[in-house]
Amino acid sequence: MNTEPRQRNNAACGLAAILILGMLALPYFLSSYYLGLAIEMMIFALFAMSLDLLVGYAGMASLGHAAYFGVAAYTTGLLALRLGWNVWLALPAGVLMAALTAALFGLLALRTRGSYFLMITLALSQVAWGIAFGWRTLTGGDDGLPDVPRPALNLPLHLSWSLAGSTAFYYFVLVAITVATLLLIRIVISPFGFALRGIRESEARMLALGYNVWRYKFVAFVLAAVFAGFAGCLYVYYNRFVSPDYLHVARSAEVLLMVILGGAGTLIGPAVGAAVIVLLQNLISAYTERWLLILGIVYVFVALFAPNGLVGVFLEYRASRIKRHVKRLNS
Amino acid sequence: MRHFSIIALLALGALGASMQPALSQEPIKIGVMFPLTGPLASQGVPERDAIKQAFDEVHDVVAGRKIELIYEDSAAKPDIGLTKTKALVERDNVNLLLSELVSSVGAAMAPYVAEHKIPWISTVALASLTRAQKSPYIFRFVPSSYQYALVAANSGKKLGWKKVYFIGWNAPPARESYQVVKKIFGAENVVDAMFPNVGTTDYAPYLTKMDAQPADGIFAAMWGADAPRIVEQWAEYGLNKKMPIFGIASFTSEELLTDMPPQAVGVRSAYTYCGTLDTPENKKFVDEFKAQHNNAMPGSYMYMGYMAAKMVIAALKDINGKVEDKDAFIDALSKVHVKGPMGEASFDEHHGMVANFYELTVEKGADGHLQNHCGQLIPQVRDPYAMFP
Repeated sequence: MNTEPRQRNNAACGLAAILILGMLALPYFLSSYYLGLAIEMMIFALFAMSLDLLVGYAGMASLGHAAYFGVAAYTTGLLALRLGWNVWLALPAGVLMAALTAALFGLLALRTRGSYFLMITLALSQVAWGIAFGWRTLTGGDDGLPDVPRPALNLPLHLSWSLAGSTAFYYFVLVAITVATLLLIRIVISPFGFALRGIRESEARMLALGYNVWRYKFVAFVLAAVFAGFAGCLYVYYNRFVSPDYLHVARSAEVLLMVILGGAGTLIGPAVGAAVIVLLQNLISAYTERWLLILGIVYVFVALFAPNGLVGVFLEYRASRIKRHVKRLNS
Repeated sequence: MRHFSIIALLALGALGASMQPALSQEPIKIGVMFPLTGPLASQGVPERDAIKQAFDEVHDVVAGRKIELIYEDSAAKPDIGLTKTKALVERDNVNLLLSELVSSVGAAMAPYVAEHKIPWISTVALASLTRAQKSPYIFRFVPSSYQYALVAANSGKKLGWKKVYFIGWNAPPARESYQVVKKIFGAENVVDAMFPNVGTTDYAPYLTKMDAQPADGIFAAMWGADAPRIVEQWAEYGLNKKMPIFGIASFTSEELLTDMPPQAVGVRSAYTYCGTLDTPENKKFVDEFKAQHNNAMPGSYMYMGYMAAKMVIAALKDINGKVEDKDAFIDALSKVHVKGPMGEASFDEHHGMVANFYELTVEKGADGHLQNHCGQLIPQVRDPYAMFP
């Protein structure tokens, strides 16, 4: 009885190990273009996972998550470009700015629930977009900020490791995303993570149990923004520029679709969703101008036939197999 | 008849091919990225087609090497455009890029192109491409905002205008155009400068302001659907009887004229392309374009795409198709002179466009449609680097 979860845990660890080894070896197989796609997939996977903390675990569907991604990207981009800050300073500053923005927006947005929460997060992110678009002297307006330098990792003892090459940058992102993902897993399986799931199921019951629901939601909101901001910082270093599109509502919608496509409420789901969408966007568009149509059809199919997302399909299949197995044992 | 000529051409092509063993070489790959979806697709798609038209004229063969155009869609978004540029360069291994018209996409592409040393013939009207973001690998075959605004401002001055209004998009090309108008007329002679957002539907607040304090004319720096819209409202408010409009850059470009109201007759501009110019090169370009586009006239964007492609073809011929020698190609391109629909064109020492401009006035054509009357030729206009560094 007791050994079964442990076995499954072992299997998961083994899978993770294989995945990481595979990712480590990737630069030896892929050309720089596909390596770039892999970097983009990892960054958007983290972005989608951060939103899943809100959507999947705390049950708060936000349509303004790109605001934190973009605010962090602008902060890091500006500090690196204008003040020449190195990655050790510019990156945490970006993440901090995302957290502060989320704390401010959270005070307003968390007074609402459901579709009202969706609308107020949308409105707030449009405010951030408006500032990026309109404050031309600081943000460059709709032309954005080109020429953000790729960082060099200045380590103690005068060691410096340039991340200008795509392979070096790939490993940098791989390490960053792995650490962030482990932190997210830790959060999700902590008592805090279970409290969030409780809030998702029934806020009233959690209140009755003595939980300060508002405070849990607030912390989740800020934490989600921190991880989104981290993804945004990595993205600005990858693309080497920022534009208001980074915090546009279309990007918020895109990441929400990644979460839903992959399967909300699991961490692996949004990562799969992000990978699928980045791949579709980049591979299909090489063959047809009508790639948006194909993407739309995929969304419709997932909404109709896999309402719990791609990972949800797999989980349901496994659950049904276990059920059948149990039935057979009983008979 | 048409079929015969095609067969004849094919036969000639086959003959030419058999004489040039070099055709067995790898094709020259050219990355052609434009916004093919979204609101700017209405300009991006025909401009891409005009580029294709130029290569069709040589049957996709230059100096014995096959030309392969690889298309991508930037969706007018800088991050998508950058990803697609990477795909063209790193996945498809294009030899050169002949791309884009959206300035934000161009600004994002420039550092990448310079770093990867890919020759890029840009059709983005971004002044910085030959200034702050300058690179030996970047060529700009479209005038910079300073270049076209200076021509417009000087032409307005020649009309005897003293006091003027400026209205333009809240975006860099219009802001830079305003700097030029301010410099030519003097800040005290610009009654007011207004910067409505891109896509503004109601110009009433701006037009009533102008109505209250008349001036000699209005400089308008807005494009796409916004140009016909402001002309329509300008006529609605009766301002067409008080203050003429001088459009900056492609304000009266042929593809926008179809949406202009009849009162647009008399609106002026000064730009790189005049559809009604009677030269054999222009006739060939217009007829071929119309045949492929449901009888629609080509505009300035299509002309510049077509010419940019012709510049590339000429440079490739000069180096005998050896595009792998990038330095030789860049050198050839910077020296090339091509006679096109509007006369000769070339690149300046910073790789900016040098070409003929025409003063244009909207008139009613014989078929009742609006068209541009080709006025004074302004020969070989150069980007004013000294005046606007």
